[in-house]
Amino acid sequence: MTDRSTEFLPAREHRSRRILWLARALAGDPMAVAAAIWLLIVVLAILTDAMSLLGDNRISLKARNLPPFDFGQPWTLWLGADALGRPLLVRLVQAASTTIGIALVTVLTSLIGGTLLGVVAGYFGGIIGNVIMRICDIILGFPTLLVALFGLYLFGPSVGNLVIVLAVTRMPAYIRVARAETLEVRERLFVDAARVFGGGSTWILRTHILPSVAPTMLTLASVNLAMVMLFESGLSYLGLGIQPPSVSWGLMVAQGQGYLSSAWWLGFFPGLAIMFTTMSFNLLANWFRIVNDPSQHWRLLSRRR
Amino acid sequence: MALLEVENLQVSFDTASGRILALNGVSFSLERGEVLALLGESGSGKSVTAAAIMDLVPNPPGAIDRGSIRFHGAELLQLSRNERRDLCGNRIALIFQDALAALNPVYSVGWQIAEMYRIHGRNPEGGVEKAVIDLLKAIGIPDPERRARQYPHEFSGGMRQRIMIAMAVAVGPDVIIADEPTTALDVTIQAQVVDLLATIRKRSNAGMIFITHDLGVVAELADRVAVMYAGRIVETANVFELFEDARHPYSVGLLASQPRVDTDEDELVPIPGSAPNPVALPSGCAFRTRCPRAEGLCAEVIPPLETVGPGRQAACHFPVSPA
Repeated sequence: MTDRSTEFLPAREHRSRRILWLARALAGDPMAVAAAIWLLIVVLAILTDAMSLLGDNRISLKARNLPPFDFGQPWTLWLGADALGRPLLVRLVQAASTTIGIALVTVLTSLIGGTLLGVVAGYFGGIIGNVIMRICDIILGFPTLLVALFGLYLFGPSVGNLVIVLAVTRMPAYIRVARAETLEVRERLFVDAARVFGGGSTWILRTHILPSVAPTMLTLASVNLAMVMLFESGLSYLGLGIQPPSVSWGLMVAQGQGYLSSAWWLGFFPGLAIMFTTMSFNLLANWFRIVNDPSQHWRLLSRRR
Repeated sequence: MALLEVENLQVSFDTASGRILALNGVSFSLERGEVLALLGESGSGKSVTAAAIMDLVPNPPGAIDRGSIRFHGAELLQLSRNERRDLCGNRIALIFQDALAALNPVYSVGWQIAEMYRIHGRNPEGGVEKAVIDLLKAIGIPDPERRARQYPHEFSGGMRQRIMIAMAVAVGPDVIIADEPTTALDVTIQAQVVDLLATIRKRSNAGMIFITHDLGVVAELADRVAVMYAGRIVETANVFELFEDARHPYSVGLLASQPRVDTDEDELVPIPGSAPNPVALPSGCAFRTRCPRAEGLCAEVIPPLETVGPGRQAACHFPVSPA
């Protein structure tokens, strides 16, 4: 049997040409290009950090709260230095991997788990659906911060526990949205048609429901990315998140808070990094949604816009 | 043995204003190679009949209360969900009225037709891809290799309906149910779709149930007609007999309210009143409140479907006498 994944794909989407086609579609959306470039920079930052290319992270009392844009200094100090005289640029690069790592793993966990549970709850309903939704209600019934604090206090503040706690407290939102979307898609005629043509539940869920629900879930995930980064910083601020000397953008923002009037750059640059990153994910999620909608992707490919 | 037999089928729905009987004892049978038209106005139970056969009656609020649906002599209502699903699409296929909504917008039409072969584990000679292209060619889609890779929104309404038909007939079902396939199309396209269905029927020798309210389409395609009113079949007849000399006053009224080219009537005669509220059907014969021939008996006794001639039945106490 022919490979079902390539059967009757439009010619432009055949595997060999797929990458070229995606590149053209990306070029059709300048905002998405900017977003992709920023994320590329972040990835490069994570790689440089991983290969220890930036060694100069020593405490230097002479450079305490050094203001940014002093181009007479070595380039690592161009974004200024923190309260202990550590170059901010190097700190930002070091924080990138923790921040992105925690945020991505958390969001992916709650995205995948929440979508699966929500789709099952929406499609089958009944007892399974009720159990899933009531557990959601219980989680939502407690203030998120309280649940997180309690969990981290019980299991100890580590990166792994932080991810689990954040993923679990975020998941009800995904489950609810996925369920609502599924309830709507389930009643669409093409799902009835698939049933009439003899498709089983698994087949219908995989080929008809999930692809219709996915764009909404991705958009939700991209919005949630920012919330997770900020929430992580909140927990770090309370001493239950990232433990120094590890560092994350959120923690840097929190640490910079005390110096807001005297050294604004301590909180400003990590905040900017968080903003750019989440905006990039948002823009790329939007682009991704259009690319995967056959009746919309002419917007990216048309020459006259 | 008939290909498909429906006997005394009763389907009801719970609504805010009470329980309504969408089908109230419907019986008919379908033979191989035969086209049976279910004719009736909106709400007469045509589509519910199709839904009941395809296991599409939403439950709740709907339920099949009693009756039987036999396919090749096997009782469908006693099959498990999975056995039923294996029959659907494979042996019994449904053509939807709204092809745009029934096709998934995010898959190419070729992929969706190929889906039929994959669901039922068919492995046509020369591969699925070739089978799909051949099928598209057969239903009159020009440039099938290119069109197979396009999405539903890139097709015209008539072409989408053809693709819907292609999906239904892809794996060669024995029974094809067409639920108002021409209603959403304009007249010239209607004719093409009807021609296509006629060709398919001739080639495949499948039995076809054609649901419609369009007498013109019935005349063109059907062998036999079952006229439905308020959840019951009120008359069944050979298509020529029905048009020449209908027995039930409702059939007569339907025919009189349509313009025809073979007679020289000056005026169209509408049926007075409107279809009865299914929550509170009139006692006795449901048509009596609109019927010119109604008498006292009609309000008391529901007329049974009785044989009024060779191969034809009517449910009326005072049928129109043969012309």
